[in-house]
Amino acid sequence: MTDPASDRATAVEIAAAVRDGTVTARVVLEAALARIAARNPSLNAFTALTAARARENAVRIDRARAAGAKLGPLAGVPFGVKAMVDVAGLTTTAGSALLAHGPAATHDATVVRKLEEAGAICVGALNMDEFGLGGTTENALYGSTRNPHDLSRTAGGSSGGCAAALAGGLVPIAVGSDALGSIRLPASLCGVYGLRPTPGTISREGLVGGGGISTLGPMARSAGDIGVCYEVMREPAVAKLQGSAQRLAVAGGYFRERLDPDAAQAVERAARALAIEQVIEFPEARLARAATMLVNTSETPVGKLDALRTRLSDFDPATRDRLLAHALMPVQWYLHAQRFRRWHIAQVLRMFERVDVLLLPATPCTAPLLGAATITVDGVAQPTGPTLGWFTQPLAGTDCPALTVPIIASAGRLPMGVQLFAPPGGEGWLVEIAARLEAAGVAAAPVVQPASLNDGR
Amino acid sequence: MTDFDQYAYVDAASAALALPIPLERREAVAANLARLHALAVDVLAWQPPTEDAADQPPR
Repeated sequence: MTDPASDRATAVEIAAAVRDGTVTARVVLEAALARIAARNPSLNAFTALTAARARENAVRIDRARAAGAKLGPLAGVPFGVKAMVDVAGLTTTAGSALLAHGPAATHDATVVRKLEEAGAICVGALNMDEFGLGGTTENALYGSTRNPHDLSRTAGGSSGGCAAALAGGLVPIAVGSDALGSIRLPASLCGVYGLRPTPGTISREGLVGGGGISTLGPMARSAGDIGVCYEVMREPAVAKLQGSAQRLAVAGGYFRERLDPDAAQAVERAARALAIEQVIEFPEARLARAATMLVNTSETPVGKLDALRTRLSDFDPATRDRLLAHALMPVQWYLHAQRFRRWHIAQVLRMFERVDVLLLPATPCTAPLLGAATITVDGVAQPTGPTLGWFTQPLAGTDCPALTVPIIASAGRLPMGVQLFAPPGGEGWLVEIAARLEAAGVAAAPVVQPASLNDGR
Repeated sequence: MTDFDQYAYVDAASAALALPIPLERREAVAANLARLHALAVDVLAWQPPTEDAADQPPR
């Protein structure tokens, strides 16, 4: 049995141990804070901690158990939150110098409140690209987050702090956000699970700086933890698909082109484990990617025009010129993109009349080196940021959930995920298929501890 | 759409929006707009194959 205070314990294991008294919430929390103190200087995943508040919550949980109270499904589980989600007592920076010196949030975002009501304990805020505008978590103010599997490489982004904190064993669960792939992409590069839920199923109240298609979602190191977190985080009235996913297929065309052997092999291994034979076309993937990018980029400058006029030098150099360009985009580009998107959503729902869950690559390659302006995919040099999102962006405008599942890499290879994609309300199907991949020994999210992170736990 | 002059567009749009683009940023902003234009060309050219939800008012 896994020591519930160790870095390898899942949220489900920790909560079960806290509920049955095998371990106290305080012991689990102190172990997590010790790991953060030891490993975060190498990873740069957390940008702020809420240790005092976390200790108060741990003591409250332990007292409640001692008094015979029924504890929640995430009792005593430490978690981190992407720095664009309100945590009472912390300034919500969204990774930007523009917000870094603002007042602290006076209340928790709804999703933080829901997790803590279920017994989880927030321990701090996690690094990100400024305002979520990037795929590598290279932040001018807070520094770059490093991939635990290779500290010279990116953790992906923009929820890179979340993915690194999970893969580095700092915490077992985290809250990320995903517009064009910001949960699914870093999950793939760090070898963890990341769910972009059906838009609207998780409250965005308390999310600062996200565009209209940005969605909050759980990231974790097991399929079971994703399932429990989503059930806790989602709104109660959300419709869920019933039954099991029976008809599985792998995406062809666009999703079989322009990917490295690591990505192709990950899809093949997952397809073989699930005995998938059917190949179907995801409708108009290239246009879907273009339209979704236009929609998102049009929305990102909203609320920032005054700052672009008066505080331009405070923006991260990595996002400043892009935000200026986004602010100038013709409205007809946006309106035509939305027009395509409405048609496309209908086509995707028609596709789901023939299949329950679709298997696709998550990223075209493994984690690039930090600072790399270009990456080589299938022998061709491409710009790093947009290229990493080739396979997450076409899905982002569809109103459907997608889950990155980490496929066990060959010895010496970096992590690589695949995406599972379902109709709206199909989060349970995604978790079910991911659990099948775990049970088959194909998917896993091991904690990695490079020599420089070794703290004996 | 192939003769998009991103520099002229940046100058005109920034004036219309009262969003001055510093001279040292103009090149990079224009390059970003050119990349977005490359995405927009195909989206603008697209027509729905049938009459359907695409022509509903935007959400």
